[in-house]
Amino acid sequence: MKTNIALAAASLTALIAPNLASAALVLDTGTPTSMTMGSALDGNDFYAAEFHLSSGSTINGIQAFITAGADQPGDTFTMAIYGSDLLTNRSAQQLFSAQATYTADGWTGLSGVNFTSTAAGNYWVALEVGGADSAIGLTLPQTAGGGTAPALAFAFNSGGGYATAGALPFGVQVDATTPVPLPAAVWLLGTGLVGLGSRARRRRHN
Amino acid sequence: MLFSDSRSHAARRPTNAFVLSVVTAASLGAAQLAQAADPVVFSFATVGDSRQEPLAPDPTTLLPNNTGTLLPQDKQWLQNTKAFSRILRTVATEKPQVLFFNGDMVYGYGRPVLPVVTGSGSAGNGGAAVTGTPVWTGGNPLGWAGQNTTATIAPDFAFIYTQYAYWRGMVGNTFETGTYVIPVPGNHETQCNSTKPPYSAGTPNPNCASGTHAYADNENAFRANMGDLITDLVTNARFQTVTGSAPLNANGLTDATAPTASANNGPITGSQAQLSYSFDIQTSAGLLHFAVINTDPSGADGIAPADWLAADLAAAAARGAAKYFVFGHKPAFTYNYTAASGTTLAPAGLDQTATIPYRNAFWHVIAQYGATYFCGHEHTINISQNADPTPGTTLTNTPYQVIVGSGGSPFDDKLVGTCPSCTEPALTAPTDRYYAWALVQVHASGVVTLTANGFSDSFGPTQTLYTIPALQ
Repeated sequence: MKTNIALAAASLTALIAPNLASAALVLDTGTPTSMTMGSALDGNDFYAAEFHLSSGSTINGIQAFITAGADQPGDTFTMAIYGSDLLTNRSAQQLFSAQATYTADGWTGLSGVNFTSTAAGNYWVALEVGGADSAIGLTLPQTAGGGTAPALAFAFNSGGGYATAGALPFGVQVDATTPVPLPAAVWLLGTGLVGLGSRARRRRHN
Repeated sequence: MLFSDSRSHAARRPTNAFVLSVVTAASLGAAQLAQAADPVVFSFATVGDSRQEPLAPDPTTLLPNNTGTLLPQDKQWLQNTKAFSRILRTVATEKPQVLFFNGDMVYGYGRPVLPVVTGSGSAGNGGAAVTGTPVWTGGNPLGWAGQNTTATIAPDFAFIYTQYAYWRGMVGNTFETGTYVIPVPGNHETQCNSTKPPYSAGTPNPNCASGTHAYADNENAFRANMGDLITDLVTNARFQTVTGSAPLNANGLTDATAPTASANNGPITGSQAQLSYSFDIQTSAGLLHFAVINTDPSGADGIAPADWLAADLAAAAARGAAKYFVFGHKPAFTYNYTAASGTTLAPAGLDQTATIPYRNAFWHVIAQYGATYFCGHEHTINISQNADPTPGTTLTNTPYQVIVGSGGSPFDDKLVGTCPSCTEPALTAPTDRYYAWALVQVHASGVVTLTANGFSDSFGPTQTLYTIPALQ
């Protein structure tokens, strides 16, 4: 009996565990196809893309498609997450910020971000060059748009605060883990199994 | 490793895109990290032509909605403050040691004749007070002290000097952020156009001959307003403090070493001291040589001083110079930005028919030393490679000409129609109407790279327009 219960529990775990959380790109604006023209990421030019989280989520990684421009491998910049009101209240809206290092042309990013949002809603991911950064002019090549999870909007900050910018499709990805609600039947099954286990224990005890 | 091991398997399951990108980044990383071993040992930015146009400003600089007028500040001081200040702000973030400004920092175009000493006043700070010599010599305003101040100054003097002062104020902070500004004279500094504002065809400037000609008075004004930046290449009161490098072997700061009339300098008449000049910077990548030339000297409009440059570069070569950078105002090869519109633009630089032999002599020197020529005059950005056009030349290299006359002056490639219903012209290059500048980096290996950044006439995000991996 003990063996049967263990098997049932293992089966249940195997059944539901992968669905406890689902990692996916919640923002993917696509991979640039042309390197000839791009936006300069420097101390005077910041960029942001808006994305939506359907529920409280953990952001695992942020990546941007970056080429050297005037910079060299080892130069640094900042990746940040802002709340939905970035355009009107940037300083109060920053939720996460970390320094990233440009190492090579292509996708450059932060791993192990582990930033957990508290609620569903719209957020912005921003690429900036702050006072502690060393980038003097990285380049964000333009994508053709699209991607698996297009941005809701783009914004640009040239010193006066962020403002929406229409055609600004730079390559950026946000990878997040979103908890998946368990269906009611799973809870019923679990309750039944707990009951069976309890009954078996009682029998053994008796 | 992209994800932390402490999280669940599901949380660690990356998407295919992420896996692919990490693999790609890793494979590219080794090659790129190799570049990190080639650090930048010296860098400079360069741009020109920030002056505004009183009669025909670009409609995109008018308020509101392309139909109004210039901002009062730009209307009075004739500068595209918005575009040029943004360029300066972004250049500051690029942290170059020097910014070379390739001419036309002021609208100018008058003739700022100085009153002369009429009495026996004392020298003041402006030099010896000799009857008949201009007061305020040396460019020091304190030179008025002890002079005959009853003399009347020409209105052009006030018109031009206030524009210089505004531009100097604009670049003042650039020094404080670690970038020294080196000025290059342009045609709007050295020449007078008899019918340009505030004058007109009906009421031409009485002090200027018909047409557009350089005058010693205008060259005096350039020295008066820029001379402190140039003489510092000798006195080094500020250059090394700002840039971290000492200026070496300055040439052309006095009449004795500046260009004079010769076969390939043209029939120069006025002093070219501090209008064509040069200096060296020693780096771990070798000796860098920088030469500034006046492409519109008095007596020789539209002619680069090729003989002087040849001697100057030869002297630098004898010192062991490894790289040569030359800065002037007018291009040696006019960029035809109207090609897409089916038009052939008349030569607007040193390549005008009457001066072609001088142009050829000039470019022969550039090619001989494998130099790079930075200029402005055409209000756009264009980078080209040009062979020595001298008939019978044996040189086969194609040095770069970098036009960055895109510092704020009205774009040469004009909007079509009447604004606000005007439209963009057929652009020969997508960057024809971009405010732009170039950043040149000298690496420890000796490789010289160029990155040109800019933003469109709608003042959108700064974009990387060109990257040249091996300029020299």
